[in-house]
Amino acid sequence: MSELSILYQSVLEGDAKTAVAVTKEALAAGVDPSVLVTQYMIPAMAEVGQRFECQQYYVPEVLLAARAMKGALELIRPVLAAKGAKPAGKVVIGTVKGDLHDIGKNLVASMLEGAGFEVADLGVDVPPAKFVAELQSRNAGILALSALLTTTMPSMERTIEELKKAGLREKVKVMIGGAPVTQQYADQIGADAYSDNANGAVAAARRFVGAQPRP
Amino acid sequence: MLIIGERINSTRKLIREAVLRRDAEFIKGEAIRQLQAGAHMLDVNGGVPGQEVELLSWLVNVVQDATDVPLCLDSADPEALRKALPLCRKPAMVNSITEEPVRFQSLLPVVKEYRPKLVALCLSAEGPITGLEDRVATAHRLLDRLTAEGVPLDDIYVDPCVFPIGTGTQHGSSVLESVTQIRMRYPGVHTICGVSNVSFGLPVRKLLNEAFLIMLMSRGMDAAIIDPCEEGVMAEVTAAEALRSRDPDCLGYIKAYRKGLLEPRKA
Repeated sequence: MSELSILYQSVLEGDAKTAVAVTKEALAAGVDPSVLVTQYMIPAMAEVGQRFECQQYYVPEVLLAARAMKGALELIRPVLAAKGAKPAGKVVIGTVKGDLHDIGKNLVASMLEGAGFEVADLGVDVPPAKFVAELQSRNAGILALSALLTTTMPSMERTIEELKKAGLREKVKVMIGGAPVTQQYADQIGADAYSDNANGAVAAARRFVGAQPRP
Repeated sequence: MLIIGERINSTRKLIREAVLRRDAEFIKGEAIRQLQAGAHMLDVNGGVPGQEVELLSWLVNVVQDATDVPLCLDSADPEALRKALPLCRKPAMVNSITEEPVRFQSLLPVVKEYRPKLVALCLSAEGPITGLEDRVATAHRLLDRLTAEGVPLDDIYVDPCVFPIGTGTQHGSSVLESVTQIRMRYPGVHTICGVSNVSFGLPVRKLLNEAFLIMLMSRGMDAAIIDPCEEGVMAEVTAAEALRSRDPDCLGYIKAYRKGLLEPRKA
């Protein structure tokens, strides 16, 4: 069986083919799928996030790495489900109404999935009502909102208002992110968490569900 | 080639900070710099949440205090536009209208009343379009609808909507080909785009921006929103105009050379 470190490398380098092949082999050999995720794939994506922060990695490389992880996760998901593994939590994520930017949001969605969350990604330009409907139908406890334009940030506030109107505010934790977003804005609109990077988003989600902070 | 200077955009940190402290001198400086670099029109964006209505008009007044060129009002807010358009001394451009129902319905009356030039951005009711066929189809629908409402074709500038090539390998060729196809269907239609979107997320953005601008010009694009102060870009525009036969006897090129505009400024 291939060295599992190859899984780490292949995600880091955005080599979906190898990531999938190694995962397949490992699962067939009986390796615990959550080990693959927590010890190889997530650390690889965390490193990707770090390199992007330091401008050593560029957007296409981040996308390729996320794609590699996604490919591997597709094999792992059914195995975890068959084992009766419960998701760490349920997240609804999307870019708010009027905004089309999705790179960061997609990265966060991949990372959350890798971290064991069930993620419903509603895409871009999502109106408040759609977020609410999805949260209700999935009985999800976490809402993650992204905006990359100062002009669309108000949609975040409107979405939180919509949550209150639907009587969901107490049941749903809200995290927000995106280049123009700040902790100050998060405090202003009553969001529960803000992060300026994908790793931080995952940490926030884990805090929301009461998981122990990862070493 | 109509060059619209993009610098006065409140979504950019430096400009937003100047705008928030109402630093008219700073904004005027940005306007003058862009004009000196060769811009024919200036884009102004007052997009600070909750302040756009006031800011757009403020920007128009400040910029017109220092310069005399037409302005491109970068706003989809009908209230902001209704306040700002009457202040424009020269015929203005509105950037932009799309197919999104609320936006189309709320901007159309403003357009019909004030008759500005109009950027028609290829965003459908369903959201962003990246495929070539969809882009061209959206452009056609928008043009058909706008002209049916009495907007003169000559007032419309179609923007195929540029996405970063870093997020999709086909985004560049899709825009380039859509310009060709849109112009084939509507001979003489103006086309425009915000060029710098193409390079988001990649290193040395200037290279991509300039190469894309030239490629767009070779496809017949006749207007672009760029930073004219970027070293070398206006020289390249001058060269490209001559190369696509829009500079009779290359006199524009020679004139620019004699003004010292074609070579990097010597230290």
